[in-house]
Amino acid sequence: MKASYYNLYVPHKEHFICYNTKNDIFCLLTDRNHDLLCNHLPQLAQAAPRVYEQLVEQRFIVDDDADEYGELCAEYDTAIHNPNVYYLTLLPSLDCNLRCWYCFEKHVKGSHLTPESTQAILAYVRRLWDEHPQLAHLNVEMFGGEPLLYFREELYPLLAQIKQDAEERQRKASFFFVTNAVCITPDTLPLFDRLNASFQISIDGYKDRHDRVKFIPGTREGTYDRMIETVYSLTRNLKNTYINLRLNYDDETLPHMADLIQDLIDVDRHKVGVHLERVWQTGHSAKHDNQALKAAIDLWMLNGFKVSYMNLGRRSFSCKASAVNQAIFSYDGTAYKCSGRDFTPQHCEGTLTADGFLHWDAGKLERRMNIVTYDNDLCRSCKLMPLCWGPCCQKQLESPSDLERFCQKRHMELSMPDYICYQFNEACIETELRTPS
Amino acid sequence: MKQVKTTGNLPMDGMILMFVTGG
Repeated sequence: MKASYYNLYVPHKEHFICYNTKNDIFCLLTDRNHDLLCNHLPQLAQAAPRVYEQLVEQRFIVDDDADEYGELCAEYDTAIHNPNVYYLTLLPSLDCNLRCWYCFEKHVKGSHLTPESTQAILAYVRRLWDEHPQLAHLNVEMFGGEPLLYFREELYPLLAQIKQDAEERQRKASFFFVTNAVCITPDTLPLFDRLNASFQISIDGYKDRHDRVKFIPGTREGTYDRMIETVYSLTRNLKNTYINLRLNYDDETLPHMADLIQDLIDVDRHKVGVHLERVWQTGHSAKHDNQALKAAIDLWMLNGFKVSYMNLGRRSFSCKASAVNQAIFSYDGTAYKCSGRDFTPQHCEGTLTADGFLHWDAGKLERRMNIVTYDNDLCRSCKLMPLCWGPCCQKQLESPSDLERFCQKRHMELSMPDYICYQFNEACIETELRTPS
Repeated sequence: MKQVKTTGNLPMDGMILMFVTGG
C-alpha cells in the first residue's frame, strides 16, 4: 500500500490537515500519524489499525499498483462524452441596461430574440430529446448581455415551453440566469418560481462602490439597494432557488466586506453563497499572501456563508466548452462554444438553422475538441489536477505554447496552506448547512 | 437586526481520525 499521490498536507496547531484532491475529502491527523502515513506506512497499520483502515477506506492510502492518474484520465473522457446531460447557453440579447467599466462584451443595442430564432431553439431542443434517448438533463443557462431585458414577453415563453417539452418526455430541464438583477421585479417572481430558477448576481462591493460601477446610464441611479432587496425577495419567494453572489473585488473593496455582510445578514444561507472574483483589470501582483482577501473570506465564513474562491472545486473537466454536448446560441442564430470571449464573428463557431439544425464549423470544432486540457507537462504531475484539469480549451487554442501563464496556482492570492485551510472550513460549513436542523 | 460577527472561531479552530467531505 502507498499514500495517495493526491494527498496534500497542511500543519494546523499540533495536527495536520490532509486533503485528497482526487476524492475531495479532508481528514485531520495527529502529528505522529501524519509522520507514519508519509514515511512509515506499515508502522501506521500497527500503531493505529483503525486509523489505517479508515484511511484505506477513504482512499488516502491506495494499493501499490493503483493507477490514480489513469483513473482521472478515464473520468475526464467519460465526462466530456457524457450522453446524459446537455449544456445549452442562450444569449437572449447582447444589449445591457448597465455599462460596467470592466465588461468585455460588445453590446448590440436593441438585440433580442425573434419569433424565428425562438422556434429554431425549440426545434433544436426537441430534436435533442427525441434523437438522444439517453439525454436526461438539459442545463439551460442565460447569459448575454443582460438576459432579462425582455424576460416576460420573449424569454419566459421560450423557457416555459422548453420545460414543458422536457416534462412531457419525462426529462429534466434546469434554468440558470447570469444577471445584474435589475429586471427582476415582484411581478416576475412567480415566473422564476415556475422555472425553479437559480441565479448568479454580480456585486461590486459595498453600496458606494457598487453604485459607482452599476448605475442606470440615463439617470446615474445606483442599483445596490434594489439588488439587495431582490436577493431577499428571491430567497423568500422561490422555493428551490439558489443565488451565487459573484463579488467582483479589488484592493479597495476588500476592507469594506463587513458593510456588505451586514446588508445580507438575514438572508437564508441555504439559498445564497458568495464567490470572490478579482476584477482582472486590477490584477494583483500574484503574491500569495493577500491578508485582506484571507480576512474577507474568513469574515464571510464566520457569518455562516458558503464561500468559493478560485475555480478549484472538484469536477471532471476544465470547462464545459470541452464537452461534446454543449452549445451557445445567440439571439440571431449564431452558435459559439466559449462564453468567456465576446460574441463576435471572430469567435462564432456555428449556425443554428431556422428548422433547428446546428451546423458547426468542422475545422474550428475539431481543433477545440482535440485539446485534452490536462495533457501537458505543466498539469500531468499537478496534485490539483482533479480540481482544475488545466487551462481551458479556449486559452489553449489562443496560446498553446504559454500555458504556465494561465496556471491557477500562479494567480492564487492565498498561500496553498491558507487555501486548503479555507477549503476545510468551507467544507465544514457546507456539511452543517446540509444537516437537517 | 443581527450584527456582523467579527470575532469567533472558524470550524477548524477548535478541533484529535476525523473526516470532512468536500462538496
